[in-house]
Amino acid sequence: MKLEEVLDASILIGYQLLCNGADVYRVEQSIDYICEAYGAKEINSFAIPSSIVVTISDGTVSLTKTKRILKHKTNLDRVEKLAGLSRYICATKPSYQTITERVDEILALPMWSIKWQYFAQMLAGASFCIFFGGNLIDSLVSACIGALVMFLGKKLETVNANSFFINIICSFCVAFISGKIGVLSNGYFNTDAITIGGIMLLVPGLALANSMRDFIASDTMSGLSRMTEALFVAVGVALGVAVAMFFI
Amino acid sequence: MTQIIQCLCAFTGTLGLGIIFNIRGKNLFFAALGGILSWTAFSLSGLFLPSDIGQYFFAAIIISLYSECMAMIRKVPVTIFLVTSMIPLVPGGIIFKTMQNLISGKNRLGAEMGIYAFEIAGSIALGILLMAYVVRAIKQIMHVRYLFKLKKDKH
Repeated sequence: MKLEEVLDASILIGYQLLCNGADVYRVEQSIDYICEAYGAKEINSFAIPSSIVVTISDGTVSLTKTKRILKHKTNLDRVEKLAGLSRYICATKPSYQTITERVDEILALPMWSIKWQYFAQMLAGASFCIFFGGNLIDSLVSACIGALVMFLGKKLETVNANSFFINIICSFCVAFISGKIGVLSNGYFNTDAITIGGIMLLVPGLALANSMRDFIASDTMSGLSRMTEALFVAVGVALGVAVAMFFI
Repeated sequence: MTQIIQCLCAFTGTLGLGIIFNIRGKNLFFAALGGILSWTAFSLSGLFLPSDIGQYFFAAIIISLYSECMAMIRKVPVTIFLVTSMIPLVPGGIIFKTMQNLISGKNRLGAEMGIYAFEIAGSIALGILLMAYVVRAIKQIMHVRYLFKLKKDKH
């Protein structure tokens, strides 16, 4: 395989890994291993959550490619498959054609359908409502709110709203609706449990876990960037709840 | 009894979020199992740990260990199990109560709650950091041993 193709293939896989929610350490490691497997002499890979830069050299010629990541969308199934693919590449060194075909195959893998996603969101909302002390009727309300959060998130994503804004609106709706239901029903429902059940769907679990993993790999810059992302989401959720409480 | 129900809810809730993160196949089940494990560890550690913060720390250590082991066994990235397992521990309820207190004018109580939420988040993070570091160190030592053995065999 030519040097350009090695660079292109490695960055393709790194880009897809980072887009779909892998930690930065793993992205850099995958790029290094792939380039090493094809016999590049000098490999310098650098990734932060919003960009990847790779420079490789075969001793005489060096090549650099930069890839900017604008959108993150969590899809852990792809991360798993791509990690398997990079292991496969290091072991068997397939041609460039094969690699791109395999990546396309992974990108075309089926996701959980919309129906299942709604069901999952409702299940999670209901479970967390009971988890925080609600009863069965509260959990039904919380399930409906979970479906609403999903619906709002999808709609706002189509108009390219940023995640901070989406979280404020979603948490506002959660807190406002459950608060209003509590007021109108004269305290028949456990409002706190319903609200918390809805809020748990918005917590930044992935960003927090990834930032910790980046800190361990002593990649402070990526760790800080992910940590800030998590903090922003948390602040957005808190703000939404706060605003909703003024209106109840 | 409430704790058993809570554990079951942790399982179904984690299962739901696993589907949202698009985890598929057997991994989804194991990820949800991590959710039940984290809350069980949290509840059981209450028997011998006096403070909540310690319990969160213990639970974080357990789930970190679980996800590192599962990642090695099933040959997938650690993140898949870690993200889903830590969801039941996230202090969403306390963030909500902080806001509730601040809005209703109980500033001191709100500030206390806010600090408490930060303490919990910190102890979870510390638990995960510590365990991941230990696992990495063990891997490194085993790798070095392995290389050392190879050298010996050559001579």
